[in-house]
Amino acid sequence: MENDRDKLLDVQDLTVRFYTDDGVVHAVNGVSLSLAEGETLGLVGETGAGKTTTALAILGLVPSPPGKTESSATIFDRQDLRLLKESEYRKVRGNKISMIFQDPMTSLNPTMTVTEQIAEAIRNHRNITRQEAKVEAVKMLETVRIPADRAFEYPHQFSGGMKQRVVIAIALACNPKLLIADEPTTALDVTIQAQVLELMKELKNKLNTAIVMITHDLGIVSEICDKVAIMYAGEIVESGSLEQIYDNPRHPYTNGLFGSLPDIEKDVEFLSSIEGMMPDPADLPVGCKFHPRCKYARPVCSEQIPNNNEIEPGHFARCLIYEGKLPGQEVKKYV
Amino acid sequence: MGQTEAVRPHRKKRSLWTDAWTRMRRNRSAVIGMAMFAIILLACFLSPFYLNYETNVIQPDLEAIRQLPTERHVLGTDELGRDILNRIIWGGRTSISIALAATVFSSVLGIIIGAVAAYYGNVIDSVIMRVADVFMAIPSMLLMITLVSVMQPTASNLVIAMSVSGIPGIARIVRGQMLSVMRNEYIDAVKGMGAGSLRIVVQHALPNALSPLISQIVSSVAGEIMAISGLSFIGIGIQAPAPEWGAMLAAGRNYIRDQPYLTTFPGIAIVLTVVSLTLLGDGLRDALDPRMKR
Amino acid sequence: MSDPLIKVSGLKKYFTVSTGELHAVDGLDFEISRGGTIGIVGESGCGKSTLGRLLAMLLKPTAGSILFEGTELTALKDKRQLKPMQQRIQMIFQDPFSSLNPRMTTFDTIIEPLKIHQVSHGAEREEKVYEIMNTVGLSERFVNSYPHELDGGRRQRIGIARALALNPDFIVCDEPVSALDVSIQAQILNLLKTLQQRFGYTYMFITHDLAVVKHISHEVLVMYLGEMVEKAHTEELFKNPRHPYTKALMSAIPVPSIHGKKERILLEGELTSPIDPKPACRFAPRCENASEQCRRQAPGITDLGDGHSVRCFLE
Repeated sequence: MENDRDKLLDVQDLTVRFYTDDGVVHAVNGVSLSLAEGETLGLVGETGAGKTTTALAILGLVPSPPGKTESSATIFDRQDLRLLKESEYRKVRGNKISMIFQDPMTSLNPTMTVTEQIAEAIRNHRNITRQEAKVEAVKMLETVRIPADRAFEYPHQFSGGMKQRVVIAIALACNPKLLIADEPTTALDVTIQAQVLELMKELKNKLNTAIVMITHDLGIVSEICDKVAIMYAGEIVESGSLEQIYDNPRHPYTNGLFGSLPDIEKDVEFLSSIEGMMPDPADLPVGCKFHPRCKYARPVCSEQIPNNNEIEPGHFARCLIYEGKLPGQEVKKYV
Repeated sequence: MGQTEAVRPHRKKRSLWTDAWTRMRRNRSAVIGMAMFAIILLACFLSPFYLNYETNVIQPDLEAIRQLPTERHVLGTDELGRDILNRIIWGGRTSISIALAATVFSSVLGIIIGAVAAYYGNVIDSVIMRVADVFMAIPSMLLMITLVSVMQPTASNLVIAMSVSGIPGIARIVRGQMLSVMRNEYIDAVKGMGAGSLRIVVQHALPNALSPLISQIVSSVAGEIMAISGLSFIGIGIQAPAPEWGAMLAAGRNYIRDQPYLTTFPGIAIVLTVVSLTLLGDGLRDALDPRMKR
Repeated sequence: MSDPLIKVSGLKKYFTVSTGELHAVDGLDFEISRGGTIGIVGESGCGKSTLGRLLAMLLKPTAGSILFEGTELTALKDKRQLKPMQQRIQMIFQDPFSSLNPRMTTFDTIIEPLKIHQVSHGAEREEKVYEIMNTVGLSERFVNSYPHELDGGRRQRIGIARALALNPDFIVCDEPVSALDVSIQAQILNLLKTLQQRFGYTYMFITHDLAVVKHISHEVLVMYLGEMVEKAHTEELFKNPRHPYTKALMSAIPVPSIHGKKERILLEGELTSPIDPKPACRFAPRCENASEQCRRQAPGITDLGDGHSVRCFLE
């Protein structure tokens, strides 16, 4: 793996809990991830897996109370984020780390032209005049392929795909080192999604921005990511390089996910779905959190918590099979 | 068959009202509001059992004019020597019953009119809503004063006047709520099954449109109480010698410098009632939303 | 497969909007085979949901005919004529939240259609509810639950149960899995397939997801701005797509595999809405092969044989 020196982001043992009247919600349970400059990590999981909360925790945006964030390390750009005061954190957000959300409409101000909004983002972090910022903003719009003659229009005059491109322009306006994109194309149509993905790929290579891509879509991950982390019930159950995860998925959940997808290039009568559903984060199963839905599960799975086992260099899976606790069991690749 | 019967969960008639009740009991301000209003209601409506209207409420006692609170007259006496507490209790009975009656009438009519407008739409909707707009353009106090002046200031006419001025507001809210509920796919689902209009509106649309309205209606009782007091204050509401909070305020107004308790106590009565209803209304709003679980 | 249950011809639905007339569905002709599934694919605003609502009799068409086993659905007027047909045609909705009445328990929701159509009564009717719950894989312990207490997958099962209650022939599925997580989506797709095999339902499956449509449909109709652009048997369409839009749509799907990535056809621009469309190919502004003819004249439908037809001048 890469040197510690090269790591842009290094999070160890991140835990987020919400203390509510109904009990403690274990949203994120010991997530560790690291990212080098210019690298793209796909954070994959279903609703309630804790993907978004993980991102918010890195940005220091988990509301407290009721939330409580803990970790043994959260290093970004050689800076320990845990020690930052709120005002310092604010400088990191938007300056060095930007975030894109799923719904472009809620992140744009309907009363300002798109250029003004980008210019404002630039001026928040750089000391330049309003006029200079506007020139920069129009350039930025051209980078995301919005023609200059539409630069002084309002968000409602734009279609969904264009709005998302404006959001990307705002996020990239101050050249961040890390971009966190939370389901950036989920609200878009397929042909528009393809346009936005293509744009993100291009910008990532051009600007050398590291990206954490939060998504439920394994197809999108394969398009744009270098590394993959699969989340389930607040844990990363499997992680590795794109090739390792796609060619050789080892965790039963990862296999279940792949098997659940109707594949456009294959014909199957029935999908090999995962039985049951995501557990309630306020009432997680004891032992391995996936065992109630796992077809390989044995009694030991409800007693012991699996470690993050390294199966091959850089490829980790959180399953007791790789600790020799389930003799004779072997995770078969989905069909 | 018998076997499945054994494991089959008992299908309890678990109504949303029982659920709402459980949720409401956990809401402190709702409980306080409910308790306050219950005490006020009991005191007022049981008054015929412990007060005699002729001797305790309206008979002047010229030897005890404008007395400070004493053991005999706990809140003192008014300008004709009548016991203020007794008059507040009896007056509350009048005000609250008129307010409740007016609210019930305006709500029932407002709900029907609003639901009809929303369900049929188009011309019917436009006509109903324009008429409502006209009524709403007139300040409701002015409308009530006009209506009561034209008719006689009797209790039933007060109810009519207040209902009429309350209908447009409620109809408008019901219509808005209904329109947003009607956009839900479950309405399409029952339509597609071939359900009749009455079933769609009464079973599916109205119950979902009404829960945000119920708190509004409860709070509007408070508004109606203020309205009666206002009408009585200017002399066209409840007529002397019958007691009413607004009328008591009006009568005590002349002595506000020397005997402020003549106005203070009826004022407190109004405030307590209004506050209790507002608390209750807010609590109901939270409790009736099935998605609110805390 | 040559026994059509439904025959749609010249179907149109226009909506009057402030800027003109919106041609949501603009002249569709197709048949749906008994026991088969027709997939309707397209992006938002192509009119696929409107089409679903027309066939579910939730909307009245502006013009055209829908023949259901010889009965002209558009000619049905009063309740007495409509009800028997409504019993045979049901719909499953996209949003498992808004499609269920939040004030009704699972039991109340599923028994509602039985009440409306007065199917059986008393204990027998209640027994039927449990039977349907078992069919769709809903545990009986959820019989008293309200929708907000259940997850998306279970809510969608209730929606399916409600549609099955009257034992229909034809079910319009309007994006029934789009709002669900991948693992739950697979469960529901499998359920719909099993039910079709068991009871011989005919489906119209509306979706924007080509992979889903390929998995579940026997025949696919691709829509663009209210019009059909291509229609074929599923296998044929995916093997041999002819319309430039179909090709672009297929290449736009991110495939969850890292091998054999195909060159992607990127479409310029975005979908507009079909308000007072000019006589031209509606796809021409985004089509890289568009010629002068495409911009001046509306292409007709070319029959390529074996049920494959396409609306493009290039054919």
